[in-house]
Amino acid sequence: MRISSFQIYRHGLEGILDQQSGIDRLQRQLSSGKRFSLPSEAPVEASQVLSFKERSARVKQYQNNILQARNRLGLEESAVGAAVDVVQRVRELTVQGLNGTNSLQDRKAIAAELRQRLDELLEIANTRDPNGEYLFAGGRSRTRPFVHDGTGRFTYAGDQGVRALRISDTRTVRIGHSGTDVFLSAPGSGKSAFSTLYQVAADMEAGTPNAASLDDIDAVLDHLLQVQAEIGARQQALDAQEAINADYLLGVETARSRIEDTDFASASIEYQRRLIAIQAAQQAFVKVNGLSLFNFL
Amino acid sequence: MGSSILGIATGSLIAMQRALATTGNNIANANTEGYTRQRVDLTIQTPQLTGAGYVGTGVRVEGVRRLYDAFLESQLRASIAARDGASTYAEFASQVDNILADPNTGLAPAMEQFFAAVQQVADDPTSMEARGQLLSQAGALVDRFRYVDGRLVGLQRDFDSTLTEAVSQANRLIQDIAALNEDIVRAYGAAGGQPPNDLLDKRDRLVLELSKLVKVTTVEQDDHALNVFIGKGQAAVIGLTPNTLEVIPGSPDGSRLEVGIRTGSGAPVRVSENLTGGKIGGLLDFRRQILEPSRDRIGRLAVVLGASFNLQHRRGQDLDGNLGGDFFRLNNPSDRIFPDLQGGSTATLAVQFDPATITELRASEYRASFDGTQWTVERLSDGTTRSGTGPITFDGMTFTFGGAAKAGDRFLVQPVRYAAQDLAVAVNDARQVAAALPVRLEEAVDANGVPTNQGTAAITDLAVVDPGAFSLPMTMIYRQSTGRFEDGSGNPLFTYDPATDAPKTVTLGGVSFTVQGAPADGDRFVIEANSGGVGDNGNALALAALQTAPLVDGASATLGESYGQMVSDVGIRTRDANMVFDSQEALARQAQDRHDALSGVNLDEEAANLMRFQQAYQAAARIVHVFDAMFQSLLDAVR
Repeated sequence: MRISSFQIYRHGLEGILDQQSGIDRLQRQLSSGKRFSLPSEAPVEASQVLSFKERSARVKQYQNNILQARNRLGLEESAVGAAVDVVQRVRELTVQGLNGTNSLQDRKAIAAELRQRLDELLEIANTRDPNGEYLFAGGRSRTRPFVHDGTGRFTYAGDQGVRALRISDTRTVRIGHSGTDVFLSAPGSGKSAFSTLYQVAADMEAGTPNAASLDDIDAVLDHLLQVQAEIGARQQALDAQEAINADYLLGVETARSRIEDTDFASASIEYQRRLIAIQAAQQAFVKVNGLSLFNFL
Repeated sequence: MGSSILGIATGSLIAMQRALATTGNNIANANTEGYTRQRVDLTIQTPQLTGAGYVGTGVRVEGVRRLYDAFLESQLRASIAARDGASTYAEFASQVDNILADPNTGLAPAMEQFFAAVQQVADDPTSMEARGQLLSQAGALVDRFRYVDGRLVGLQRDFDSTLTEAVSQANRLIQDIAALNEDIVRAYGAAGGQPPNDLLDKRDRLVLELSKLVKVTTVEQDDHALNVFIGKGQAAVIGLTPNTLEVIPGSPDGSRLEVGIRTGSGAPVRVSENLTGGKIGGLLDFRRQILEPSRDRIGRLAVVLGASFNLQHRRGQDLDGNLGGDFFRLNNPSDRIFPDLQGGSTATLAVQFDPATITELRASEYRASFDGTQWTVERLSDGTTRSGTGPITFDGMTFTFGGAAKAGDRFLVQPVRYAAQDLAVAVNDARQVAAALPVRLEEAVDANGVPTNQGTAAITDLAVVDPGAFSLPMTMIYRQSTGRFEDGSGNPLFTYDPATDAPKTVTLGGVSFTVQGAPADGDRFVIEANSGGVGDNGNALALAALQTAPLVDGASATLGESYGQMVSDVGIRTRDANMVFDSQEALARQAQDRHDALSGVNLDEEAANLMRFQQAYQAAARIVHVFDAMFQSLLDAVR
């Protein structure tokens, strides 16, 4: 095919310019560590990376929720553990007081400690978290849940609600128990923990402790242990989900990196190749454009 | 006898001179853009009839013509038009892609941060800090919507000025081509049919320039004037008469620029749909396929996010025990209605968003038209219609018509085009964030607060469906004899058989809940107002769940997915435009090569021609010398 002089020049120049733009792109990749700096350079990949970042951010928020849930459950665990200790001590005192060798004076002394334990349990039931929310007031967390009028009447000003947090796209976990659940419910006795302790203290004060009250105390104890078990199960669920989330984050990050980050090995090799190519193109250009019949006329 | 030899020699000298001049012209113009190499057409002089037969009388120049092929030229124009159209489209599309897909300033990170703030409120609903942070992130989200849309608006203004400039450039070229037509026709006439090569080159160059702006096809008339058609056959130049190409305001939306052609002194006719190829075609395609749909899609996202969030927020309760109000303030779709009414019509149209069906909202313009008996609303993105006489509910909006309409009345509606601009936060007090449920469930307890229900039934997943339908407190007592739950007065509420129904989801009195387990006879549950329940995070959880709920496009995509689809669509179109550009560039280079193969100057070839014609000139000069010698001999013979 016939070639015009301008075409010879243009082809040579286009070759050089094409190589230059290729080298420029590789230089940017090597220096920034990213395959593309603007989304429009690799539009499909850019939108994939965006989707990875969105999923990753959401799962990181779930990990944060898990952290907060763990804190809350930890607080609850300490409180319930303390309550268990109190009720166990009450049981010891009751057994001790039931012993026939006690005098009335002895029993009055035990009753005094029993009343102290009752107050202690009340305080535990009114525990607050560092933000000032009551742990065992259900949804009415800014209202002091348990009030004792001093004569064995206990009123609960909270409700039966339980807060839940989201730890994955499909799972929520409850991070507490209502006051009703922990301190007022004692399946088997039908009496709240406070009523039971109050009654035991009152009987002990009068010098007539009732052996049947041990059953009531055991009912309270059993229920508290069950609450403890529920807390433990929830904490385990948190740990398991945290591990799953962490794996997921790792997978997403790996996928993102594969798309977005420069593959230094292949980029360097191609860079070298193009340097050679551009040198060849430049030398060829000079050679070819120096050839002319006019040199011989 | 003698004169014919001299005549042959001088004729040859003159012819070779012309040839050398033409060769010199080619060499001089080797680098002139648009120059077509010229060749002298040599032909024999009419032979003389003598007694010895026909004797040749030498050479003469028939004409100087360009080495030009109209087909190659038209191929070059076509691939340049396609290439420049793709490159303009890709250039503008890339800008939209960069705006939307930016991982730092795009909408995706703003939505993530907003929902993360909602989760923080769910984690700690009584914390004023978390609530304040939510309001602050909501403000940031609204700002980001405005920023992204604002950049698209800026791009729109760039588009407008680029289009105006390109159209005025094209118009100038059209006028110049028509003027050249006149010159060329006159030049042909004055030269008795000889082609005015440089004028022809100039006209070809103008047509090529025009090809960069819009697709061009040409037809040469018998008088050598060139008829020029642009796009899909719109007449730009007919003979010596140019039409005027100009930018005109659209109708009925006057802010949308269109391209119009004015014939003579008449009114301009809109031809935008018929202009393809070149910069103008690329611009118009870009606006239709990317710019306007992107603004609509972002606006649609803003409305669906705002309306869905509002709907859920109104189902919650704030720190002061009040039902939540609107969290976001949305645009009013009635603000962007363009009427196009027949004379004497008093028709009116009002458009409202319908929160209950907002997932049906599309990213499109709508046209409502009256045919004499009923209104038809058409979704312009794909032509789907819905008709009726009363208010029409379509795609998450209600169209209410009023006044006296005439057949042919039309309205253009752009319900979501400006939604992102107008989105705002409607809550300014952190206490008004409705994080709690307005209702709570209580199981029966005695005077000491000890639970009294004997069965194993539990009621869970309490949710609000319609706060307007509340009838609180709602007492539910299980009666084994009738196998159902009844209210305090014995009225039946719903049946429940633990063996077959568990778990059973019930909607009652504006709330929904799930019943499971086995209730004992007389077990009592109450759904009551959640007074003082500030630590409840039920509504905050529901608000946070909107992030992963399929809210968009008829409940098929989440907010993030819908945005991702938009980014991906623009990205794919950008990539495709780049690919089209690359292949059209290669085709254009090939077309240029084929064109230059015929019409380009090769200096080596011209050098060889110089030698050739120079030798012929020298040989012809020799003939003169020989003739002179012959004549001298003759004179000497008769002295």
